[in-house]
Amino acid sequence: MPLHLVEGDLACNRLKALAIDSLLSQGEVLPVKVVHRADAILGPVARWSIQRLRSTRSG
Amino acid sequence: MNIEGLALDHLRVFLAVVEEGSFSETAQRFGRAQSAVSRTISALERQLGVELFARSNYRPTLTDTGTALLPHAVEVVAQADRLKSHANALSGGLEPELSIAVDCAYPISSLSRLLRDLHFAYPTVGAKVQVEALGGVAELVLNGSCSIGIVATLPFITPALQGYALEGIQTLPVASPDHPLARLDDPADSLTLREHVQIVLTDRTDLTKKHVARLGFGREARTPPSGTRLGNHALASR
Repeated sequence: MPLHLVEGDLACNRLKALAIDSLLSQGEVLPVKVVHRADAILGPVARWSIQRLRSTRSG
Repeated sequence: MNIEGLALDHLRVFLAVVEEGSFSETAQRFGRAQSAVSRTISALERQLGVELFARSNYRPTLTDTGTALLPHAVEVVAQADRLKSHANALSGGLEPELSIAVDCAYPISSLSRLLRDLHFAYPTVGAKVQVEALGGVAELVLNGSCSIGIVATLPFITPALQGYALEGIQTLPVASPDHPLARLDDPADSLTLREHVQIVLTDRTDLTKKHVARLGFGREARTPPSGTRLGNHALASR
C-alpha cells in the first residue's frame, strides 16, 4: 500500500507493516509521472500545472 | 438528408438525452423548455433522415440506428471541443478549466496543494479532477478527456504520452495485526505469502493487458482475469 494512505492506521495499530524475506523486494517505490498527449498543444494553465508539479517536492 | 445545416448544438442535445434518458431532464440541464429539446431532436432526425429515439415508451430509448450513430456524434462533439481548445491555446487564451486525471495512489495532500496554487495563479480557471488506477489515467489523457494526468500505478507509459518524472510514492506491505502474516517471528518468504489472499488492483482498461501490475506485497503478479471485484480492487488468491 502507498505509505501515505496507511500511516494513520499503522500509528494506531489498525495495520501492521509486514516483514518480507529480503530476497523479495521490500516495499517498492511507485514511479510517478505527470503526462500529457505527446501531440497535444497545451494551454497555459496545463503548462503551468506541469511546471508546478515538477518544481514541488511533496512532503 | 442535408447534413450541411447540422448544428453542433443538436448533437450536444442528442448526447444529453442519451445520458439523462429523458427529455425533461435534458431540458433542465440546458435551461430550455422541454418542447424545445424535443423539437431539436426532431430537427436532427430530419437532417439525418433517421429515427434516433423510439418514443413509444415513457422514456426515450435509442433505436438501433440511434445506437449505431451515437459513437459518431460523440466523436464529432469531442473533435469540435478539441478544435476550440486548440484554437484557444494558439490564441494565447486561458483554458476555462484544468482537466486532470490522477492516480488513486497519488497523495491527496499533493493534489490539494496544486489546486490551491492553481486557484491563486488563475482565479478564473476551474478544475475537473478524475481519480483512476492503472491504465485509467493514461486512457483519459489519450482520449482527450483530460489534458494532463498523474500516473503512479501504471508500470510503463506509451510513446503517445509525454511524461515527466515526479517524486515516487513509497509503498509497503501491510496486514491487520490479527493476520497470521503479522504474527510471524521471521520475515515471510514467498512460499508463506503464496498461502494468503492478497488485495490487488485490476485494470478496467486494456493498457496493461500484456503487462504485470504492481501490487501491495512489492512483488509482481499478473492481474487476475477474473477476481471478486470491489470497485477498482479485486481479491486474488495466490
